[in-house]
Parts: sequence; C-alpha cells; structure tokens
Amino acid sequence: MLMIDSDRMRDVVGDDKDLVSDLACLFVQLLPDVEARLRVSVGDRDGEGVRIAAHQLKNRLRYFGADGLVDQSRRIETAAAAGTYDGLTDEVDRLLVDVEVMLEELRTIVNLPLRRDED
Amino acid sequence: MHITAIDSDPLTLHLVDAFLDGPEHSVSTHGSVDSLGDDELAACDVVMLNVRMHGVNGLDVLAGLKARRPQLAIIVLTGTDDVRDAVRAMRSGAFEFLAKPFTRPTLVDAVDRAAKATRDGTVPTRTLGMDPAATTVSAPSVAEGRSTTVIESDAPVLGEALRTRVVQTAGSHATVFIGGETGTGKTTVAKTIHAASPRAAGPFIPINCAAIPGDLLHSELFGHTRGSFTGAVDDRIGQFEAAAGGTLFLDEIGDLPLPLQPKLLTFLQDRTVRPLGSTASREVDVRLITATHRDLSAMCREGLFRQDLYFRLMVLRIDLPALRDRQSEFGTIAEGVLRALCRRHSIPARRLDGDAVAMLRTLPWHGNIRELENVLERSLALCPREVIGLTDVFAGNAELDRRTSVAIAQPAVASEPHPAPVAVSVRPNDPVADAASGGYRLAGRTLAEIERDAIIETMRLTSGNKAKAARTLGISEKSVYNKMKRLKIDPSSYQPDTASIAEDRSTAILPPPAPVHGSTSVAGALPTPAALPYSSATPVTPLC
Repeated sequence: MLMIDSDRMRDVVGDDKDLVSDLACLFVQLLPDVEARLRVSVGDRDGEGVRIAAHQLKNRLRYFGADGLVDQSRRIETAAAAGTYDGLTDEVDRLLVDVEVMLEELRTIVNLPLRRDED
Repeated sequence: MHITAIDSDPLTLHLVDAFLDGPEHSVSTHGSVDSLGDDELAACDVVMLNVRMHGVNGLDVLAGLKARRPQLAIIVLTGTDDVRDAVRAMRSGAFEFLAKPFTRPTLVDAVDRAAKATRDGTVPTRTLGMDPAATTVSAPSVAEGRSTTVIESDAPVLGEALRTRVVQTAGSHATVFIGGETGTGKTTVAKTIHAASPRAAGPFIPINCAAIPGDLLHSELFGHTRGSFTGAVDDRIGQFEAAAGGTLFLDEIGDLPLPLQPKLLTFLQDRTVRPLGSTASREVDVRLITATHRDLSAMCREGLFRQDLYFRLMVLRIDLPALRDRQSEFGTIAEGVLRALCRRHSIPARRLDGDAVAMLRTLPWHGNIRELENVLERSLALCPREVIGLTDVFAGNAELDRRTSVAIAQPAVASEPHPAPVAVSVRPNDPVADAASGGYRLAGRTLAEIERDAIIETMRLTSGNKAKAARTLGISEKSVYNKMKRLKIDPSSYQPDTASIAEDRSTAILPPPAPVHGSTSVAGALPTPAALPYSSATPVTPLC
C-alpha cells in the first residue's frame, strides 16, 4: 500500500511540481531534527517533547497526502499527551520506518536529494 | 497588500509564501512573534498566526497582537485536532480559522477577505479571558436602529443579551451556528439575523436537514443536471443557489449525512457548489446559518460529524438558553409571546395576570418557548377576556395539568441557588386533586389570602406569640402586628386548636430536599408565592 495519496497531495499543493519538490526538500532537511527529538523524548519519557515532535511531523506529513502516517503521528501525540508510554517506543520506531518508505515514494514523484545523514 | 505569517514550521511558511505569490500580495515570514517589529505590525494588512507554536501559547500571542492593533485581521492557522483550541481562537477575536493543510484558493480567499476587513474596520474585536460565549462582532454596516426595530417586533422571545448578540451577528457575513434545545427559538433567531442583516432584501431559505431523506438532500441543496439520476428530467438549481444574495438556514445540521458533509465543507472553503452530475463548480454568494439541538462536538468525537466542518460552522456561535434557565425573563418572554400571538390572530392585545405568570414560571418547559406558545395560544382561544387568568391557562390544557404534576414531583428550578420549598398548585376547582392531596391549594388565590393563612398558621404554632411568629416568618414584630391588622386577624380571638385553615382547599407542597411524606407546615416559610402555606394531617401525595 502506498504511503502517499497523490490525489490528496495534489488537492493540497496543486499541480506545481516545483512547489512539491521544494516542500519535499524542506521536509527531508528538517526530518533529522524532528526524528532525533522524537527518539530522545520517548527515551526520556518526556511526554511533552514527544507530543510536540509528533505534532510537527504530523502537520508536515499532511502536505504530502500521507494520511496513514498522519494518523500514526496523531496516535503518538495523543498517547504522549496522556502520559501513556506503553508501546510508545515501538510506535515511534514504526512511524519513522514508514516515513522512510514515504520518502522513497516521494523520490519517484519529485527529484529528491538524499538526506544529509545519507550523504 | 502585505501579509505577515508567523509559524514555527518552515514548511507552512514556505507554502504561504508560495500560495500568495501574486503581484497583489507581499509576504514576510517569521518563525516566532519575537521578530515581528512594531513598524511591520502597523503596516501589514493581515497577520497569519499559528496558535500551536513550540513553547508559546498562541492564544496569548493572539491577544498581544490584538492589544497592539485591535483592528487588524488575524488569521489563525492550526494543525491541532482539538476542536476547543480552534473555537477558542475564533472566539478570541481571530478573523478566520484555517486548518492545515489549507489549499491555495482557501488561503487566498481568506487573506483577501481579511485584508478587506482590516481596511474597512470590520474586524472582530475581543479580549481574551472573557466569557467565550460572548464573541462580539462589530457591525458598522447595520443601522443600529433598523436592526433593533426588526428584532423588537419580530422576536419578542429574545432577551436583552440575546438581542444585542443578534444585532452584532447580523452585521457580519460570517457563518453562524445556533445551538439550543428544541423549541428555544433557533429558527426565529436565524430569521431575525437575516432580517437585520445587509442581506435582508435577499431570500431567506430554511431547510430542515432531518426532514429530507439523505439521498434527496444532495440534489435539494446543490441541485442536479438533467439525467444525473432517474427522474432528473431537467437541470435544477439547489437551495444554495436559490438563496443567492440572501441566507440559507440549515436546521438540524447534526442530521446532515456524513457523505454530504465534504460538499458543505467545500462550499464553506471556496464558496462554490457543484450540482449533482455536473463537472463544473459555480460560485454562489450565500450566508450560511446552521442550527441543531445536538451536541456537535460529541458527534465529532464519535466520528459522526467531521471536525473540519465543525470548525468552519462555529465562526459565530449563539447558544440559546432553555426557558427554564430564563426565570428572571419569564414574564417578559410570556408577554412577548402573547403579543405576537395576538398580532398573528389579529385580535386585541391580551395580558396574563400575575398568578398565571407565577404559576407558569415554575414549570419545567421541556418544549421551551414553543411549548409556552402552544399553551398560550390555547388559552387565548378559550379566554374572551382581556386578562388571562390561571383558570384560563389550565382550561383545555390537559398536558399542562400533567406537567404541573411532574413539576410537583420534580421541581424544575434546578438553577435556583437556594432551593426553597416549592409549592405547586393544582388546577383550580379540581375536587379529585383536592381530595387526593388533602391539603391546601395555592393557585387561584390572592396573595393577601395566602399571606393571611401563613400568619394564622404561624400564630397557631406559636400559640399567639407575635415575637416568635415574627422570627419564624422572618419579619419584624411590628410587621406582624401591622399585617394582622391589615388582614383583619384578631389575635385575641385566636386559639391554636380552633384555628382552621381553609379546610375545603387542597394544596401540594414539595419542600426540597425534604421528603414528600409527612406533615409540612407553613411555619418557617416566608409568605411569598414560592413558599406558600400548607397544612394537612395526611401525607402529601404528588398529584400525578
């Protein structure tokens, strides 16, 4: 199953491929930071840190029509806000793996550079 | 026009900048409000602000910006899933609310309208920390006098607070949501808003979403093209287009089927409708007012109503209180309803007497103003006199009898801070009820009679001791003396065992939270209509 609903993405961003490409580049550029904050916060059982990072990631994923990942992020955000840490590390791991899959899909749509940590 | 966007998310800022790339827009972006200087704030036409920025309370930022420049239109951006956050922001004076991800047309439309509002000085002004229900909207386009006249004459059920609210709401073009129990006057308020608005010359089209089957509602609202379904023999415009230039009132919006909700959302975002079977969308200029007695936020939580649509509908919200919560206004409302009924039936003005109003005020009115209207209409039909008394109100109102009994068992005055013993009368001259209660009837009697009996009862219990009676009644000894003189009660002839209190009358009294069984005395109760005398050797039985 595809992570990106290209129709949804087109609904949001339109047909402007350059804009999609710009957004995707920005997303890739910002991803390591949010990823690190998610991992550190969940390790520290810092609910507020997890919530904020998941919230940011969720809103960024929305621009790409990645509704499944948006839902995953929302679940993490809600659990963190409620102070529910059971299984949260696994949830975060799954989300970040799925984001990587999404990036691969995105690369088939726009010319996406490798992440800085992949250089 | 200049737009200032404040958001901690670079993707959002990039998108805003890209969407507003036309020559008529210039955009400056800020990762936080700290970098926004006074000069830029003074010069910009619109601010776009994320209310959920890292480490910042966006509502505080909103309040700060409004304080610095009250007439600046601020568009709130949010990616939150919390309905309350968005609604709170809107009620805090935000001009518009945009949920992420927003589309280019939605953003451009919102920004253009916001810039116009800033230029025209029609931006909502509000201060954070006030009652969230008290959203105010400036209404310079509405002639105050005209609006007030319309509201005075057409909606007597509106109290002062509601009237002010409706006047303010009428001046805006924003979508309005009206909440409240069944019968509280939602349709009346919607009509009044339309009549007092700059759209008054346009059509007002009410549609009850619950009354039209779901599969027909789509065509009814948005229209259809010929051949789009069996029976669609011609092109037909929907009610949105029929209401062009005016107001479309969607009552019972909570009953709008889920599959239709995105269509309504599209209209609210783009102000366009697309008829069934058509590939083209058409722009339509309609103000939307919606209403329901349902709890839409609960429906959102249960997945029965779209949250994004909910946000869009709640731009201006008016919650109508239940009639039982408007005790202090009850007399005015009842008189207003009566006046309106007299006008409707082209008969001379009538009025309710004090006892009738006092009695009606105690009822729970689950059907609210609509139920009151029905009761008064029946009374009006049966009473040829100018003044409608208690007997006239009960005559022919079997349901009211039942309600009275219910009120006896369950006093409706839930909001009373200090529940006093609530005496509830039964229908006058009802021998069955009188016998069943074995007590003393209150309704249909004058206050002087009731006061007299209260004093006699207290004097009997205090063995003629006026000082004690005065303490019990909560008045001065001199007042007891004066009242006895005025009411022709002779203390010298008064004997505890010979005092008799209207043995041929019946009454029922419910002294909450005391049990209904056992003897309840008038002693200790103030001689007021709400705490009236009762004397009975038999247990009190609710007159059901």
